[in-house]
This record gives sequence, structure tokens and C-alpha cells, in this order.
Amino acid sequence: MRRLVTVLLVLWGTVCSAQSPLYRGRTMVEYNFPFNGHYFWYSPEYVDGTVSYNGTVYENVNLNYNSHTREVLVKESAFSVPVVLERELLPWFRMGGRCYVNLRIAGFTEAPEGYYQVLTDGHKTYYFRRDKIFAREPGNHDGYRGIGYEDPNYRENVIAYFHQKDFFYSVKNGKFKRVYPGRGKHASLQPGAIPDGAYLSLDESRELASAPALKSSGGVSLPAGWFAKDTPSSERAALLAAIEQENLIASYRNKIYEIGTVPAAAGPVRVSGTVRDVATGEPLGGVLVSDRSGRIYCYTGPDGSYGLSLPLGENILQLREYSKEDMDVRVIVKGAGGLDVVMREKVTALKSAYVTANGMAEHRRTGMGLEKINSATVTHIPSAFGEGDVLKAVLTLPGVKSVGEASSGFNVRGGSADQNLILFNGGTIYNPSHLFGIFSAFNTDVVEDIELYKSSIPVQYGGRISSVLDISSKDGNPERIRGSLGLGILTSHIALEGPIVKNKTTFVLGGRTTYSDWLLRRLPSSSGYSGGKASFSDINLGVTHHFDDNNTLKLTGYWSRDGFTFRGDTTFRYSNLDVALKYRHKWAESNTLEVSAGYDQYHNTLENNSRNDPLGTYSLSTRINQGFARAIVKQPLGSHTLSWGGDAVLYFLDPGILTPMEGSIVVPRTLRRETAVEPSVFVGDLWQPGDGPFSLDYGLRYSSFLSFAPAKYYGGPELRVSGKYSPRSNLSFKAGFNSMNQYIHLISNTSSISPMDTWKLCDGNILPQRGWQAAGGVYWTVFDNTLDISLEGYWKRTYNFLDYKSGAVLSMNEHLSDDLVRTTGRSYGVELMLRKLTGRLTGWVSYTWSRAFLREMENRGAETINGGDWYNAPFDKPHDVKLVGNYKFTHRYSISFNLDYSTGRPVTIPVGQYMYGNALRLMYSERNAYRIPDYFRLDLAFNIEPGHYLKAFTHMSATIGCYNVTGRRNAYSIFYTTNGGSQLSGYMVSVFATQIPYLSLNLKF
Amino acid sequence: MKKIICFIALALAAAGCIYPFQAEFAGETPERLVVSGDILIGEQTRINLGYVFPIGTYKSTMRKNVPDATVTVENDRGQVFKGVRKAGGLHIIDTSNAPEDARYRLYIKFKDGKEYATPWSGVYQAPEITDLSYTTDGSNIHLFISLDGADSLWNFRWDYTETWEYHAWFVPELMFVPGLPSPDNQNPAKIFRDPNPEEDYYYCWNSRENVEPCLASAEGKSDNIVSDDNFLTIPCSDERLMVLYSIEVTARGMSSAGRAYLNHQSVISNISGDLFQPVPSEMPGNVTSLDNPDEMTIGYVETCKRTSRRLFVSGVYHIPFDPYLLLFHPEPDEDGNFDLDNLFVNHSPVFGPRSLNGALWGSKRCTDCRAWGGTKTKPEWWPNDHK
Repeated sequence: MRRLVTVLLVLWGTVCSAQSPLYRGRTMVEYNFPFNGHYFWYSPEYVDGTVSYNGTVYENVNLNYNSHTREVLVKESAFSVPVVLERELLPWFRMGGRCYVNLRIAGFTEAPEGYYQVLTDGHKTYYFRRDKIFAREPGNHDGYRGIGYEDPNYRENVIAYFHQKDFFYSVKNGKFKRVYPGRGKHASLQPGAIPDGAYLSLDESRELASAPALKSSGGVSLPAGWFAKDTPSSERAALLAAIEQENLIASYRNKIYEIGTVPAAAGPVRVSGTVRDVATGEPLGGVLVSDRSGRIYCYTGPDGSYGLSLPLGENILQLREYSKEDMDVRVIVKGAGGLDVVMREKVTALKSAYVTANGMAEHRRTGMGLEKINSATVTHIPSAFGEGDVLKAVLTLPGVKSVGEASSGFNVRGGSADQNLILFNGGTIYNPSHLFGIFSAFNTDVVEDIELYKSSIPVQYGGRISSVLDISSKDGNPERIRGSLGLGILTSHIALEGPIVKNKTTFVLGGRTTYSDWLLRRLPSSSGYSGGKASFSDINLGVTHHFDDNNTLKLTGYWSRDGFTFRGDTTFRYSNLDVALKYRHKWAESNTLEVSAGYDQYHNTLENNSRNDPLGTYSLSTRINQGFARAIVKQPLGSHTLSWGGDAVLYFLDPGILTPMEGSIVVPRTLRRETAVEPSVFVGDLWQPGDGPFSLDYGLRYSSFLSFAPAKYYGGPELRVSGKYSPRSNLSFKAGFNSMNQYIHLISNTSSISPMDTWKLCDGNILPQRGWQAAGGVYWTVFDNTLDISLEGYWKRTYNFLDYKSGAVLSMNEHLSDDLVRTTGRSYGVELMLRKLTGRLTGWVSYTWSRAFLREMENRGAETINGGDWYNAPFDKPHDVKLVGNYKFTHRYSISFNLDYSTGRPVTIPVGQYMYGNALRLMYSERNAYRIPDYFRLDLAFNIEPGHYLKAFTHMSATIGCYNVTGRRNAYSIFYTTNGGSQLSGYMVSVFATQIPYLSLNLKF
Repeated sequence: MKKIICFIALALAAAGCIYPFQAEFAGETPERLVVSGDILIGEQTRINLGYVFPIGTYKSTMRKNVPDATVTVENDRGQVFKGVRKAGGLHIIDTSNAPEDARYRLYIKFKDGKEYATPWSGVYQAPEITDLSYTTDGSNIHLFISLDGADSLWNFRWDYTETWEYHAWFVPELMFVPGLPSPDNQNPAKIFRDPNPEEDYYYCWNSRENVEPCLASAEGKSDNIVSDDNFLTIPCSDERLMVLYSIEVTARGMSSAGRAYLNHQSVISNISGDLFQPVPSEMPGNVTSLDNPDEMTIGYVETCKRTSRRLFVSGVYHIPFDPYLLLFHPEPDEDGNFDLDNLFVNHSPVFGPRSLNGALWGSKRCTDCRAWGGTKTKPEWWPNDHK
């Protein structure tokens, strides 16, 4: 097409101009210029000039000079397309009274390509070249690198600009030499204010007068390939791509879209479409799409699709996503129809906003207690050893606690760790940690979104009574292969993504491993750690195939393994395996069906290889195998959005397999496999009556559980209700209630999840955990929508949570229920949060006051825990303050900080001592009657983002940080020992008892 | 590079550390009766009564403040074996002639009328100690025991008593006359003298019992044996191996619940700080209040027979340093005076000329084996003729 236009222009030029050879150039790409600054030498305005071209001098032509491509442009009229003149045929031109020469044609072959303005300071002649280099870098570029404040077209939040560079040269003794104005002999030459008298005509340039190539030869021949399509350079290609994107974005902003080819008689009508990333074309999930009032809204699904019921007439479709630029699309809704939109990466607050979409989202969402994090967020929260950690990021949220650093699992609103459903691409992760809790099991390179439901748990989730952490991996880039590589002190990670079939089938592959094992092996034996081993690795794979816009199939796989041995003969190993296949179908524009099925496995093993007791060595393992299938349909019906479907989980749980090692006399033993199925059905409705202030999200889930051999059935309804009242667009009140059932228990008598903890399905003796939560909150966005204030309160009850009897034997116990006790739990709390998402300083501060108690449900006389009274749950920490923030010095350099204070967790400590035989013994307090010292930690990190230079193949970012800056010795636990029955000593275990500096390097390509 | 790697690894390992810590106890220590000991058939039964004391109470205080009670052993044949109260809460009951085939219980009655008893139980026979041996790797000796539970025993406990003969570093050639010389009168003739023959403090004997009971279980194994359990390791430079070392192991059988109780008691009293340590809790014993069954007590008393076996070890001692390095010539201060108090109270002359700074002096331990904690009392069964 471009070639055709060029030919036509040439023909037109031939007919219309007596000086037609001048137009034998290429047509210039007409930039709908979207960036700050410009690429012209002085001004975008074309000015009258004279040009010597192909041996002929043309006068009175409209000229300009592109300092980016170093090309002379000529324009026949204000409305014609500029033509680029060939540099090899153009020795000089005069424009606006200024003279420019092509020094290469003048014989200075060492001079860089381009044109040089001829200057003089009255004594010497100078050659001045101005380059404009296209750069892509986040930031406001007003007054930055040549983009002047005076630029009337200056726009904020533009990610690209032209970096202006000026060069000055002189010719001495026939040699071309760069000089530096303002310095030494060239002090009189001031580049910032070149006087008019400094511009010379060509004739006044004595050095150039002798250059023979500058003389007009009169030739008119055209070089071969004159009209050939240019092969753009990589920079030029990137520029064109960026322009294309910008133009696309700009077209959305400037146009009014009519929706609906068949006008509807009355509204509301269904408007649907897909939201994609403008740069990659990848569908964007989790984007809030709303109407002008903000009261009609939805979130895009994983395939980027959305659907809204909008009233007829003019409206504005608002798209909000925390890492994307806000997008407002003006529409005139005439009937049901579709509109696909693209969004662009946000610039100013990129990666500095950690959590959730912008604050206004809270006013549109009916549910409460949802926290969203994105993988870019995770990488910027300082963590031990610099490894981006999903779980540690989750722990920075209000209402989420853990029993200590380097502990597996987390506790949400007074719930135990096993009451959290952790899903990765739909598969259940039973142990979400590596290295007993130092790292999380998720590779941030492949993680796309993290959603934590603390309350208002959607009706499609079930199986746990406290919270749902839903983590999804991203789709591969549909256009080209991309990757990332990260190096840390202890770990490395790599990810690769790209198309298998362009724009159809993509893949994403990620892996992580640690070299802690390798490091430990290199320790001298005197260190006491040389015999230790600790290692982990994980692999993620995702393949997505888009059959068409309405049908997508996604295959995901996840595998992880851990193993560690420290100064002993006991080795722990555990592994997770998850494979899932998900099919999404969209029909009638906004109805969606999602069907998924998969297989999950969690396997842990303890190997006791005691040299002291070779006849007693054994391997003890437990294993959970589960298959799952679920289907969910989302169907908009007027002001209602129905969600309905069902799911089923088939469990095969081996609670214990004891195998003797070689030479051992341990009798092999296998506890009976537990087999059960957990089918559920659900239906929910999001009701948004018109654009009124009320909305209601309600639903019912019926979960059931059938264990085989012996057969036992449990079941019950689960109610999910949440409502919102928004009297103003920046003020909302919400309340909700949800009840949940859980049919699997974690059997543990340790404070933190241990690698050898086992899971147990319900049976005739072990009843399902049940729980409900009522919550309410107020959300207020103030200061021009820059500060969110939220206050949430909750009251929660749980039943049949398992605690253990004193001296309980939890492994290989055929009568496990005899060693366990049922407890009821109650927890309540208030969470106050202030969050700032824009500006140089972003982040949030939260304060949580909460309590969590347990009470044994049965009376066992003197053995009843705490005499049957309430006792502190192990994760009860009444006061909790969290401060997470990021301050951007520039768009490349920022500092992140993370402050965490909480009350110490409850512990059981000795309150008495006695002699038993020859040994000193300890008597312990009531369960969890005391507390370890309060916890305080401050982390800092300095982040260096890559420059957004398009020419670069790779982009390196680095983080230098320090975990626990103050070096405070936070107690993980306290314990007492009589040192072999002789003398009492008290100790405190501190996992990170000192500053942990780290350097993390990440390379993207 | 290797050093850098080691440094990084050590830094990581050291990041997690254990520090001394003392919690503040807000509440009062609950009063709880402690009953320790087993009913031993065929020998004297030793039952200790005590109470739980606040954290930090001295052992001596704990042994003094013991309840005054009558302790008896009863069997299902109506026989009652009355205990004799000794110091420190110890009650000795002569059950040496108690029949093996009866069922027994311990009965305790306090002066205030409170009664406690254990459930009736049969007698656990003694396991056979099939082997008691040691090996050495040059640095340590490792002691091993093997037990056989015969037909019925699956849980074992053994305790041991170590007895050893050692010597002081030197036989002194001179001794000092008792009493400090005055600073003005340091006449060697009045300070030094020859040792008397009866003043032989070169060889001594010492003895001690284990503190932590050794427990083992064969439950879950195909044979009810304990095979080569390395229950004790002694460095070859330890004084116990200096001349002759003897260990007597006494083994008994027990119930699964009894072993679990003692094991739990040991575990919660010797917590290692492991990240995955079970949360400590109190486990009920088998001593029940007859007045108030809900009253918590501490103790698990069983009825058993014991068997024992002795082992001697010699010739494995490695002297850890040259003892002559311990000797010195006293140095006068700037005024020419000696620190006589320190010299005569804490040291003894060993060799050399009879003058304060002419003689070689050493610590008391150099010449007097009693200073090491032992005595000159040789066990009757000791196999050599050292005095």
C-alpha cells in the first residue's frame, strides 16, 4: 500500500511540478505524533528553503529536518505527504536562513551520517549536528533531556520521548574533530543560545567551498531500488510499533463508539468485548470495567472478556486495572453489541502500587475482603534473600498473619493454616513453601495474579472455612519469545514464554532451584553444618491454545520438591504435583462456560537413617492424590449476573506408609487408605439494580462429602451473601456473611506447618470443620481519589477444628481420633487501612486489632485443655501494624520499605520444676497462656529498573536490599531445657537474628 | 572463592540463632504432687515424693521441702509392704521378697488424709542384657547395649552407674606444714616437709548415676530386642578413663504408656528449639487422687524386676596435655613478697628445692585426687590393688 502511495505521489509530482526530480524520494511515514517533544531539528513547522538535490538546486520549497532519522523532508503543500530526500544526493540545503551541509559528501567520511549546520563565532567555523534519539522510559519528561517545559503539547504519563543530543565539530588541518562549546577555545560558542549571526551561508564556509561533491553536477539518475520498501531498523520498527500502539490508544480516547447495529427499543442492553494489552495482545484478566456512574461494573475474566448491561444512550466505559493506564471510552449505546479495548501499561505508578486495583474499585465491588496482588508487586516487597515471595507479600496484608518468619502457611482472620484453600491454576497446593517456609512455592516469573478472599468468598469456592488464595499463572506472549532470568544469593529462577503457533498457541515455562545444598557441602566440617543438605526446585508449565475468540484451552502443570537434612540422620522430603486442563467457552457475547479438570498430589517422606539404631531405620511417608473437576457458567440476565455450576474432588489419601530401610527390623505397615468424594453444586447472583446505590451478591453452595470404607456422609448448605450501599461514588458501606464446610484436616501439633504433618479426611469419628463469618466495612476514597481509607470488622466462629491431646501420637496412629480433641473457635477483629496508590510515594499502612480463641468441645475432666475454658489460638496476635511503601526518586530508581509490628504469638512455657528420679523436669502452663516477645522488623530495598531502550535486547533490573535492617532478634519461639535433666536454661530461637543483605539481579529478554 | 562461599554459607547458617532468654512468669506455680520411682520386685523399692516448685528453685531446696506421708506397696494377695521415710522425700520399701506373680499398686497417704494410688498392675519381667560392650575410634569410646525382651517385653528402660578410678597428676615429693607462714618468717624448714605415707592422694574413685533414663521401644519391629544401642559416648581424654572405668547397667521392662510418659517428660524438659518441635503440654500420669480423680499429679509408677550387667574399660585414655605445664615457680611482687594466701590455699608444692620460689608448685588437683571430686574410698568389688 505504501509503495502504491509512493508511486502515485511520484506521478503526481511529475505532472504538477517542473522540478519533479526533487520528489523522487520516499514518502515519509506520517506520524500521528503521540509523544512528548518532537523529532525535528527545531520545529515541526515546515519552512521555506533551498535544497541542492541530485545535482539541481531547488528554491522556495517547504523543508524540514528529521533529527531522529537524519532525513531532509520536503512538502509540496500543507496538505501533502512529506517526501524524504535521499541523503546521498543531497549535499546541502538552506532552511529558515540556516545552512546545512552533508559532510560526507564534502569528503569528511569520518563524519557521522546526517547534516550539519554551519556556524561561526566570528573566527572559526563550526559544524553543529542535532540528534534526537527515541527512548522509551517511564516518567514525566517535561524539561527532561530536551523536552522543554514550554512544549505546549506536553502530556503527562507518556512513556516515550526524544532524547536530544547536540554535537559540535570543527575542521582543522583537514581533520574533522569534535569540540565542546563553552570550554576553552570554544568558550564563545554557547550551544544554548546560538546568535543569529553565527549561522553561515554556504558560500561563507571556506572549508567547504573546495569540496567538489558539493557542486551541482546536473545528473538526474535514480539509484537502483529507489522505490524499494525500506527494511526498518530495529529502532525504527520499535518506533513504528510504539506509534501504532499510541495511535490505537489515542483513537480510543478521541472517538465515540456506537454500540449496537440493531437499535434496541429500551435498555439496558448487553455490551461485551475483550480487553487486551496493547503491546502484547494478551488478554487482560481482572480489569474492572464500569459505566460512568461506577455502579454498573464487572471484572474481565482470564480471557479478558467482559459483559455489562448498560442503559441506552451516551455513556463512558471506564476500564481500571492497577498496572494499566486508566482508559475511558466514550460510547453511544444503541443496542446490544461488542467493543474490544486495548490498555497500556501504567507509567507513573508502575510497580509502585502493590495491591488491588485503584481505590475506586472497592466502591464498585459488592464483595469485601478481597485483596489482589500482581507478580510485579511481589518482586518489590523486600524479602529475605531477595527472592520475590508470593506468601510473604500476602502476609503484608491486614488480617493475614503467621506464627513466625520462615514458617509455612498463614492465618487469615483467626483461622488456622489448614483452613486456607490455596489454588494454583485450580489445583490445590497442600504445602505452599520451600525450605520449611523461607521461600514460597510459587515462581513469581510465571505468576500473573494473586487473589486472596478473606471474606465474601465467591460461591464457586469451597472446601476450606477461612480463606481462598487463588493464584493463576500467566499466558505466554502470543507474538514472540520472551524470557527472564533471576539470580539471588540462594536461588535462581528462569522463565520462558512465547508462541508455539503465533497468536494461537502460547507457552510459558518457568523453573527455580537453590544452591543452598551446594553451599552447605562446601562448609568445613568444623562448622557443624557440613553434613546438612537443603534443596528445592520447582517447574511450571502452561500451554494456552485459542481456537478462536470464544474458545480457549489451557493446560498447566506444576511440580515442586523439597529435601533437607541438618546434622542428623533424618531426612525430610516433600513434593507437590498439579496438572490441570481448563476450557473456556464464550457464547452469546457475554455468557461464559469454564470447565476444568485436574490431578493434584502431595507427598511427604521422612527417612530415619539413625546410625545409632541401624535396626530401627525406616521411611515414613504420606500421600494425597486427588482428582478434581469443576464447571461454572456465568450468565448475565438484565441487571443480574448468574453464576452456577458444580465441582467434585475425589480423594485418595494414604495417611501413613512405614517401610523399613535395608537391614532394619521395623515391621512394614500401611495405614488404611482413605477414599472419599466431595461433590458440590452452587448458584449465585450478582444483582445490580440499574445504576442505583445498592448491589447484592448472594448465593448458595451445597457441599457434600462421602467417604468410602467405612461409608460416611456429611453435607450441608453454605450461604454467601454480601451487599453494598454507595451513597456517593467515593463512599461505600458493605456487609457480608458466609458459611463454609471443610472435610479435610491438617494433623499437627507444631506451631508451624511441619513437613511431616499429615492430612486426614473426615470419617465416623472426625467431623467436618464448619465455620461462618459475618463482616462489615466502610470504604472512603478521599483527596481526589488518591487515598483509600477502609475499616472492616469481622466476627467468626469455627467448629470441629482439631487440637491434640497431651502426648498425642500423630503419625502411624490407627486410632488417631483417640489422640485428638475437637475445638470450637471464635475470632473477631477490626482492620483499618490507609492506602495511597498514586504519586511518588505509594503504599499502605494498616492496623489490625484481632483476637482468636479456641475451646475444647468435650469435657475430659482434668485432661480437658485449659479446664474447658477458652484459650489463645497459636496464631492469636492482638495488635498488628504493617507499613508497606515505595518511593520513586525517578522512574528507574526507587526505594521500597516494609515495616511489620505485631504482638508476640502465644506459647506454652514452663511454670514449675520438679525432680523426677535424678532428673530435673519442667511443668508447663495452660496451653498458650504466655506470649513470646513482640515482633518488629523493618526491611529496605533499593530498586533499579531497566531503562526502556527499545534497541536493547535485554533489560536488567537489580534490587539491593536488607531484610531486618535493625537486626532485631525477633523470637520465633522460646523454649526451656534442663540440659539433660541437670540445669534449667531458657532460650529464644530467632530465625533471622541479624541483618540479611541481599542482591537480586533480574534479566528480561 | 572457597572462602567466600564458606562465608556466605556460614552467614546463612548463623542467621538463625539461639539466644539465652528468660521469660517473666506472671502466674503462680500450681501445687502438684510428684511421685517418682518404680515398685521393684526382688529388691528394695525407692519412691520419691515431691512437689512442683517455682522455676529457679534450688535443687537442695526442692529436696528439703517434701511432704510427710506414708508410702506402702500393696499386692492383690493382701500383702502390704510399708515404706521407711528417708531424707529428701525418699521412701524405701523392702519388696525384695515380694512374689513375682502378684499384682501390685503403690498407695500413699498424707497426714492431712489425702490418699493417692496407682492402678493395680502385674510385674514386668526383666529383659536380658545380651551384650554390653564398647568400641573406640581413637577419640571417644562408644558404649553399646543389647537387650532381649523375651516373650513379653516390647518397651525397655535402662539406667547405669559409672564408677571410675583416676589419679592426681603427680605424687608430691614435698608438702607444706599446715598453717600459713608469716610474711616475715619464711624459713623453709618451717614451711616444707616430707609427705607421710598415709598421705597418699594419688588414686581416687568416683561414681555417678545417669540423670536421663535410657528408653527404647521395639514396638513396630519384628523382634522385641534392642540391638547395639549406643547409649553413651565418652571422650578418651575424660578422667573417667584415666585408670579403670566400670559401668553397671540395670535394665527393666515397662508398659508402652509408661515409656511414652517418661519419654514425653524428657522431651518437654529438653526442648532443642527445633522449628518443628511439638508444642509442649502436660501428659497425665498414673498416680490418682482417691479423693479427687480430677486432680492432676505427676508420675508414672510401674512394677518390674530388674537385671544388671557390668563392664570394665581400661587402656583407652589419652592424656590431653602435658601435666608439667601446670607447674610453676611462684613469682614475688615488686616488693619481693609472695601472695601467700593464694599460694597456700589453692596450691601445693610438688617438686624441687625447699624455698617458696625454688619449689615447683601446682594446683591442688596436681597432687590431691580428692580435689577432682572423688574419694579415697575404693569399692569393695574394685578389681585392682591401688590404694
